[in-house]
Amino acid sequence: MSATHPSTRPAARRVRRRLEPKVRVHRAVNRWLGPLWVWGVLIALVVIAIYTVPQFATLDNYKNILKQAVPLALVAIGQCGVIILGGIDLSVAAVMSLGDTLSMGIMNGGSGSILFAIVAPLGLGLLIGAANGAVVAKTAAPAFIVTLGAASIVQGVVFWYTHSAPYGAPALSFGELGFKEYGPLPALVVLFIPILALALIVQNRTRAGRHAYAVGDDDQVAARAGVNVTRVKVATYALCGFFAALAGIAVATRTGSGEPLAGTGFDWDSISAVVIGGAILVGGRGTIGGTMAGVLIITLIENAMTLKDVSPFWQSTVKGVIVLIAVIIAAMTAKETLGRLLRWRPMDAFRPRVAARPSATGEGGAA
Amino acid sequence: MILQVKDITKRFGVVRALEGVSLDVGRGEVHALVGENGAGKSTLTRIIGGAERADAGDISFEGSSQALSSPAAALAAGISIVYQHLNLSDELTVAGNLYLGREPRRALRGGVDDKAMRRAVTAWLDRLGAEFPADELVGRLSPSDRQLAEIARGLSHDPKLLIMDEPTASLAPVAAERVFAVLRELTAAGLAVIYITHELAHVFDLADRVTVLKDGRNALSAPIAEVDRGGLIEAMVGRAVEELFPPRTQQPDRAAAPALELRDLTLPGYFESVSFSIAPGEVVGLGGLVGSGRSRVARAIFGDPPERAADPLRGTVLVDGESFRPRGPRSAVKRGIGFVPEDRKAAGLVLGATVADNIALPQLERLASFGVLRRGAERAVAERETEALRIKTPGVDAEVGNLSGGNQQKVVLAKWLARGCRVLILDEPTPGVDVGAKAEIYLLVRKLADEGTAVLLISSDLPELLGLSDRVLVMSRGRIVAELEAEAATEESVMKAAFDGMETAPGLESAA
Ligand SMILES: Nc1ncnc2c1ncn2[C@@H]1O[C@H](COP(=O)(O)OP(=O)(O)OP(=O)(O)O)[C@@H](O)[C@H]1O
Ligand SMILES: [Mg+2]
Repeated sequence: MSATHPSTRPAARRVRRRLEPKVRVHRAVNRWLGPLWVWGVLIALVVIAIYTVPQFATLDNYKNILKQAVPLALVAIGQCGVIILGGIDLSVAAVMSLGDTLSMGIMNGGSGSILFAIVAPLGLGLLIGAANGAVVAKTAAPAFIVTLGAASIVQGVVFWYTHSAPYGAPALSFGELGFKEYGPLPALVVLFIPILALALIVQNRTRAGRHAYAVGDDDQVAARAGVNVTRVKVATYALCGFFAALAGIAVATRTGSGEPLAGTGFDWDSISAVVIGGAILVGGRGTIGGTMAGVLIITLIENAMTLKDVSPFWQSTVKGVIVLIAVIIAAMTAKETLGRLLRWRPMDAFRPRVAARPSATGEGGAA
Repeated sequence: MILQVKDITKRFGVVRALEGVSLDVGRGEVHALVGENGAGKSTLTRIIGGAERADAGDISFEGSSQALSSPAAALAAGISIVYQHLNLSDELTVAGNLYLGREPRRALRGGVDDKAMRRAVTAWLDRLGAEFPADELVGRLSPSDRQLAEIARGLSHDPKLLIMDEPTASLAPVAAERVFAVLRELTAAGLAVIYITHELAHVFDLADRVTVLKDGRNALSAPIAEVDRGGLIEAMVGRAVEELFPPRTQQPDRAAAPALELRDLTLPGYFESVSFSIAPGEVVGLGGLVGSGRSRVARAIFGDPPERAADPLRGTVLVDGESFRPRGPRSAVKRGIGFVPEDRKAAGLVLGATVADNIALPQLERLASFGVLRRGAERAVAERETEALRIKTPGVDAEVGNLSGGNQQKVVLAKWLARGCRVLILDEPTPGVDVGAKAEIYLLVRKLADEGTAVLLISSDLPELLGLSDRVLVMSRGRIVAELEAEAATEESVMKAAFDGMETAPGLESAA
């Protein structure tokens, strides 16, 4: 339906109604997987580790990495949502400890209350997250401070509950979960896959996902379009709390009892994973796919360094350096400088150019 | 009457934005709302649309006053607003933006029905003559296309009342015509429109009634047949503006060494072999259709980087006879090049900073001693400029983000006018600026030229292009296709050159 008006449109031409297939594929890949260069970095790290770390390239170690990655992946999914909103959740570590100790405390070695031992921490995580979200949405208080406060409160409760010592014990069948394998994969990984699929669908295919990006990009724009900004924020933080509690339960399958500091470090690691995966902290950008690459990168580095007997102190330093590099790269891509280098295709110099097609309405192809 | 607004009052601190304003709009009516920058037009719009609450007064829509408590409620009641400052999310596609907050779900599988969204949006884009696809990211559209997307969004809500706040400010003229045609069809079917603009020609083109606001009060309300241009301007400005354009007092000395010279400047894919020179004191207009590459040339001279590193800039830029390699805004500013970009929000203003800070920004070194900013000097410069351009602000300490749209534009101009420069590039300097202020701006540009500045003026506003320039170049498809002396140039000759260029210019458009 390209109506031509000879008087105003001298050059009759077909108007493009869809993006070029190439661009479309590129965007879809980016939405579901995140920036490909992050996966490239992961592959490069694997190759380096294979050649430099002696016991790295064994089937058991791969399984181990995947298994270790699951708790961080869970926390990072929730964190990713919050960061897309332009927020941040520093309470995930404490909520994770809560999930771990509470489920172990309720179970306490018996199998009678497994269901309750799972549902109660999850519900509590959801509530804590919702409270975070409500305060952030309804007051001008920065998410950073609000969730830091929540972290402190929750961790205090955990210490009180556990008397600052390992607490409770898993039911037998539950404890086995951390070591069982379904086919070639650890049970935890198999259980994680549908959760990841669901999260990806929510990100890409639902209104909730769209709204999170819109709110993160500019919440006033979203509000004027009729999006219930408060609801989006509360729901996203609530899910983040939920995932943190779930991660705590996942960790519990692998430890003999509830650890009051089970979540320590997961706040920083989850934020790092999300940022390595291409998100920006001002919001509006980020993907769960990229976050998963970030999670694997962090886990792999930890694993390789442990195999190499690097002291935990240096591990922390190395992780810090890597995150800083990622943040700088992300900032540069946002500014298009590095983006241009990465998208640079030398062959373009030899191709005929598609010009800035002068149009009556705008810079269409050129912009 | 579909909308009745009675005695609305609204204050922001000491600023009285609206004082007892009334406005009635009937079904099928296009009601033009005009007034100086800062008169209160956008504030009234936001109140009607539920985005802001009035301090006093009543609004009734279709006989009920329930609808106006929030943007969502106003939308549900059938009031849709095309805001002055674009309200689209850069990270979503055009379709995603148009249906934000009301995405259709897929019947069986759940999730967002992107296909249905795209179909509906494409229909609107077709109708408006837009040439970008519905699945493009809004962040990648040109200002003109964004505006069109915004208009498409307003219409796609299927409203009973459509409020458009300067919808054509950054829209190419041809696209504007198309929008008007669609509006006429829809009003014939009963849509009511409140149309805010500074382009009086559009008022007479489109409106059935016109209301003038002055300093937050009703100054005039009449059927369009009962007013003329002069009367309208007088009601807006409070005085008659006879001569919009200042006379050309001095002939620029074209024999002298040019202040700015371009030799075969080429940015592959955008423009090719662009050569021209501007003498000191000369105003050269760059005409052509939106997308013909004009803004690209301007940005290239200023050193704004192109999007793709694979596109090297070729050719030479000479400033005062010395070769100048555009490396970035910093080096350009150092070399005496000033630039008022088309996309003022992105490149022109720090919205969270004060008026004084913004105006002082390009000349901080000059206003500082030993690296410490002299506040007094900064304020003095800012005060002089706000005075000269009649920027309506409670003071130079006010945040720029709180100024009315037109006044923000004036601050962008003040930044460069205050600094003074060798070469001044103006890319669409006056959209959203009221008539009175336009006259002031033209006067200032002319004065700068008379003092020896070379001015490159890009404008889609043909009267402005012809009225201010000493010489007009026309670009089409990335090439300069015509050069016209000011005396000889007419609106027709410029448009003709632009369109002829599209048919005959070789090269830049490939097989696509
Ligand atoms: N949020 C705010 N805080 C403080 N002052 C404001 C705010 N919003 C508007 N104002 C002031 O209210 C007055 C009216 O502004 P408004 O934006 O309604 O003008 P306008 O008629 O739309 O002008 P323009 O033609 O320039 O868009 C201006 O003086 C402006 O500075
Ligand atoms: Mg306005």
